[in-house]
Amino acid sequence: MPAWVGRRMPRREDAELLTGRGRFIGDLGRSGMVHAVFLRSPYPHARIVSIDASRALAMPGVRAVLTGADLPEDLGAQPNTHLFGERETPYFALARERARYAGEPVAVIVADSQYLAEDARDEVIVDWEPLPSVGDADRALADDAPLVYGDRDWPDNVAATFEQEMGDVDSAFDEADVVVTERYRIQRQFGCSLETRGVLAEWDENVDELTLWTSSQIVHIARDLLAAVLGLPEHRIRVLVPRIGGGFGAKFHFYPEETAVALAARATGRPVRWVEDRMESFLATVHAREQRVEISMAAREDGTITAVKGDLVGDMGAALHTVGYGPLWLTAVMITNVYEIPNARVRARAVVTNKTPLGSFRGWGQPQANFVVERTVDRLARELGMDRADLRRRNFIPPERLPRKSLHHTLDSGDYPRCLDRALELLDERGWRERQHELRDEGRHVGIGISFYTENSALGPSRMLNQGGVQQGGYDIARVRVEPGGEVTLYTGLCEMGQGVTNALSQVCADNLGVHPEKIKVVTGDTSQVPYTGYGTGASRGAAVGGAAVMRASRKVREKVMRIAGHMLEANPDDLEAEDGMIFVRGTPTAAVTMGDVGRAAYLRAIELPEGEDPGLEAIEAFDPPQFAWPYGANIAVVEVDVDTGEVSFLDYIYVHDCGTIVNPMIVEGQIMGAVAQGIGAALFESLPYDEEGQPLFGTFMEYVLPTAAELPRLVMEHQHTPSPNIPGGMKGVGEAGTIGSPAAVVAAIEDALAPYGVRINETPVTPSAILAMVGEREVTPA
Amino acid sequence: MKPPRFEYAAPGSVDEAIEILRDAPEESTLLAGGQSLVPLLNMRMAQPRVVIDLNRVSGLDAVERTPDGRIRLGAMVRQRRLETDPVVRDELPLIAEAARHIAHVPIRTRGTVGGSLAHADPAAELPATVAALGGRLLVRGPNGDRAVPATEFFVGALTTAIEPGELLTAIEIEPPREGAGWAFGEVARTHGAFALAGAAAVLQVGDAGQIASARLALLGVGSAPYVPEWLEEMAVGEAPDEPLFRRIGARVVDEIAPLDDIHASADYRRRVAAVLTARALRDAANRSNGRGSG
Amino acid sequence: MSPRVSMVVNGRGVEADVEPRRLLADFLREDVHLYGTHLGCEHGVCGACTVLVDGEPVRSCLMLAVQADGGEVTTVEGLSRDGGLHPLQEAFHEHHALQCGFCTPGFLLTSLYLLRERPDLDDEGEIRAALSGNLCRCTGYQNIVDAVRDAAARMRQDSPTTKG
Ligand SMILES: Cc1cc2nc3c(=O)[nH]c(=O)nc-3n(C[C@@H](O)[C@H](O)[C@H](O)COP(=O)(O)OP(=O)(O)OC[C@H]3O[C@@H](n4cnc5c(N)ncnc54)[C@H](O)[C@@H]3O)c2cc1C
Ligand code: FES
Ligand code: FES
Repeated sequence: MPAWVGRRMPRREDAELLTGRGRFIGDLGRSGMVHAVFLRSPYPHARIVSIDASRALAMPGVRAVLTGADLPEDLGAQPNTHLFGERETPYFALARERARYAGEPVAVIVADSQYLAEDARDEVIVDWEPLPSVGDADRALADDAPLVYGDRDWPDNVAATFEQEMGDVDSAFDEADVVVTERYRIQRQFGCSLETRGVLAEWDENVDELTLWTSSQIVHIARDLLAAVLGLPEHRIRVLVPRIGGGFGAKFHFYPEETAVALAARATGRPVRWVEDRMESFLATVHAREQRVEISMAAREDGTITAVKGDLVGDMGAALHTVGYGPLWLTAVMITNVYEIPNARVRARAVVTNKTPLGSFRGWGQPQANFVVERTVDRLARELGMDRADLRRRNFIPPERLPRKSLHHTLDSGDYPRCLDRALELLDERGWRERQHELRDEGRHVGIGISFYTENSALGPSRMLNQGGVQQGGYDIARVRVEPGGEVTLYTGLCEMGQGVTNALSQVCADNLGVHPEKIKVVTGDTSQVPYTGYGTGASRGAAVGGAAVMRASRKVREKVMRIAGHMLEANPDDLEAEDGMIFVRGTPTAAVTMGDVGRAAYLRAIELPEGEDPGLEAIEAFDPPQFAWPYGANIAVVEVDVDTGEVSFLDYIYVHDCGTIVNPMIVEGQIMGAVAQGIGAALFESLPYDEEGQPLFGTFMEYVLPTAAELPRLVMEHQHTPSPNIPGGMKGVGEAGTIGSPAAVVAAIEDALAPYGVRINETPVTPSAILAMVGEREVTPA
Repeated sequence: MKPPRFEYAAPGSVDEAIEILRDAPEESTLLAGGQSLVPLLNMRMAQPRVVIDLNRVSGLDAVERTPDGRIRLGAMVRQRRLETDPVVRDELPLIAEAARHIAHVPIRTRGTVGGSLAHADPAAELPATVAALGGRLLVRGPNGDRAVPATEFFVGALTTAIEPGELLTAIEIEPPREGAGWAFGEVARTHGAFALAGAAAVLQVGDAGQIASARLALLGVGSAPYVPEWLEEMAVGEAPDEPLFRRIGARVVDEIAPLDDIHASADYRRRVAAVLTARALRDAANRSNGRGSG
Repeated sequence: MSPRVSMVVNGRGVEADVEPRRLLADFLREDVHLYGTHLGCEHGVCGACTVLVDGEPVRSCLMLAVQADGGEVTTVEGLSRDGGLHPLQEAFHEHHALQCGFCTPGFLLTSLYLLRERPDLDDEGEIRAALSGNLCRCTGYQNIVDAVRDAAARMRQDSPTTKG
């Protein structure tokens, strides 16, 4: 009987963070440490004619200036681990001959303080030869577009084209009663964790070993990729991850700065630290999301959707980064969402432009897929004169037909109609449909928006990843050790970045081992200690895949604990129970030994061990999920639009979802609230616009608008629980869910509020300025 | 993002500050609240040789009544104080209200009246508000003091009538007449962010129910606060009703030349200027003589 | 030329020679070794660096260390008393008002001042507006708002007559 899983437990690391004792990358120091800053390309595309660092090098306190020309000849290009069949877009720790986007690192300057390093950077002179450049995917597809990789003989700017089809799409469209076609534009956004990135590198010259602290979600992968780039054996590199101030996928990547700072440490013989500043973060950290999508849906008059086809263009920026065009691929294959659509076809083109490379951000390609599908379903409902919810219900894969294969994946389990119905019930309980009519009669513009999502979580079956081209596993490995004193140490390759995974894992371990979670210490973020994790901390795999691995390892240890305790108590291990660190004969709690007694026996007093039992009390277990897990949920947004100023305010926000077994509801709710805030950011606020040539039109938080407490709604949330059939423990994962359905719901609500004007909103973010432009000229009446 | 090297001076008096300024007027920068200047230093977009810190200058942080009945606000009065000071709240409630729209409390605790006016950001609240109130700015330089009316002080974006070598010491504002109403409104992308556009109004309804006086200024709709000089002529003697306010809004739209930026189009600003104008005038009229919500 | 500055930080006198250009945040972090004051933007927007100077909240990324000379600074490290957590810290913990915790010190100090000024504060809208100068990328703010409101209630109970 689970005691800890399912509990609302406040987190263990809070005390440290609340008192200012948490140590992030920028708080770390080493004796003799010096500081690095990067000089970056001011041009979207330019050839480096020459770099003169002599004045900088002559300044007091300046230790080194490295440029592309100083990189080792045999240094590898920054790797892409998601190979889906694409052209190569090699880029290096520092730009070698040309820079392909504004912000590309060109030189690293090392000095005794960050102040001095910035002074020196101002004195480095680069002679640039600007080249033709392109700042937009549509333009990049034009026949006469400047070529981003003209120097590598690309005939065009298309890095890859991905196509997939199921059923007979053309016939379905021919036979359809209704066809709707829409074009959407989804803007660039990015993870924008409040803590920027950072790296601290230290070489031990005596043994030629590198220690690298980095704000990364992928501790082992970062090590391996660094080893590959530097040509070092993996075990000569130790990667450590301190506290991370948010990751959201942007820290799931392996960055040029990690290589460059390591090289700078070798060049100077000193520990070197670099902390990204906020302005460079907008250019140097991977962007995300940007796509144009054309989608068509075919349906019968009764509302049955018979086919969908999508044509996607992803603006990948200047290179395919660590995850290649993975997010765009995911958008493409999720084009049927949770609907039973037998015929589907997608084409996705990954287009390069002279912009910051695109990469991961919570949700990967799913928010885009959800946006275009859910908005188009709304369009179809309007076309058919059907209720939006009815149309969804009619097309949901019914519970009895799950698991079911969609375009690429197999959706596992759940009851979509029940989830949507509960959300609608809440909407009515809270009186919104009635209120909306009343308020409309008062001349107010109130709208309700609905969306339904599923999330690709628990990534993932390693073989499936490899077959798809991913050069990483999808498993997780956990090590659980009972110490001689009875305390427990749990080692995981997952990284804690605020999402609470260490708490969730300790709750799982506590139940399966029979100890109190406070007795469990969780060790993360150190390749010299923690087991390998296949994919890193992302893709909502922590609780599900990591949890299952912890469950297995804990149970394995528990078996041994029971054998030893049975011997000590002269009882059959099968008759024993463990709870809160006590092991006792079921029904006779007085006959007990403690975990400490067992620990001491295992390590110190072999004399107490059963015959033939090995010393030690630990287990290491892997878990590789046989399938993905598919949590799902409904978002309902209620908004009011001021049609005189275009301002949008939230009146309510309902979120009903199912993510299988919930380990800690408090953490799950926190994950959803934070992710919905990012989805609302996508819908209304955040954007990284460029001009036609690829010059960024942003540079600070004055341009990149993050929502504050004053803009965001209070979420009304309910959980449903359909355990995953594929994951021991039944967890499905929840990390990204909130980002997926929220943009569609919010935009649908705005569109509904503006129903009197008959607007269609196919582009985000929906700013006040955009709203007034859509509402059109109208009499000004002060409200 | 660390400031470049500079020499630092922290004079104790205005005259001492002017003395230091005299040495290198073009290469020196005054530091008031630092809420605009320090970001620029951190970004190295400002690289002054000398930074003259006004925070230890005595006598610049007073809120006082002048013998001729004006309210004088010293240049170093913090924006936060504008919200809390009883004299400002009683005599210049429009200023108190506008101040609440400047950024956030932890910025207003440092940001100053003088810094905001001297910085003259086109989207800033105080320049337009001081213009709406017909205030004047007191500037001191090597040649002594001069007073500049607000309408002449704001020359353009980030440009004022302050000459190199001079500094702003205070502003003086005549409190609106007893019974005048006031209102301030703006739109911004998020709470506390710089406004996309905004309007400040002072309006008095006479005993007979007609408008006796009206002043208005807009922010964010051009390079400097926009003050419609024709307003009195158009409004005085008229009934304070919606059609009038809308006509005024429409005329404002014809006269302003806002710019596009990544947050909003020029067209948006124009349309919102009309809305904010009408709303501010209506709210001010409602407040006049204790009418409406007061 | 590095002037000597001295100030009281969390009740303890500190003194150092600093370059005039040194930001107060860097002084606190690198010279006083109080790393709880975080830098999230260095241009005044995020609020992670918020500390109290002479009792008022300021952005320590927009103040020079020399400007705090002679002043009294409170950082997050100065919040807990006698080893126990401050009611604000307790409320943040219980309401799960922090995830990565990077923004947390700034929120705590903004809230500390807020509740001293407005011990009666209870309205959600007012709390949201008052916290809008601090960015959090993890929580969506809801739990922070709840924690601040709850802390206000706790602090009222702790000291029903005196302020904060
Ligand atoms: C995140 C953020 C948001 C903001 N939002 C807003 C907003 O919504 N609205 C708004 O109006 N402002 C906003 N500001 C800026 C505002 O807070 C500043 O306080 C103000 O613009 C400048 O005032 P200051 O006292 O800080 O001046 P400083 O930054 O010290 O100085 C600004 C300029 O004025 C000059 N100067 C200062 N004092 C004098 C003087 N007495 N005589 C001559 N020259 C002088 C300085 O040399 C400098 O060039 C914001 C700032 C930040 C960081
Ligand atoms: S670091 Fe000071 S406000 Fe962001
Ligand atoms: S908890 Fe991570 S930014 Fe607020």
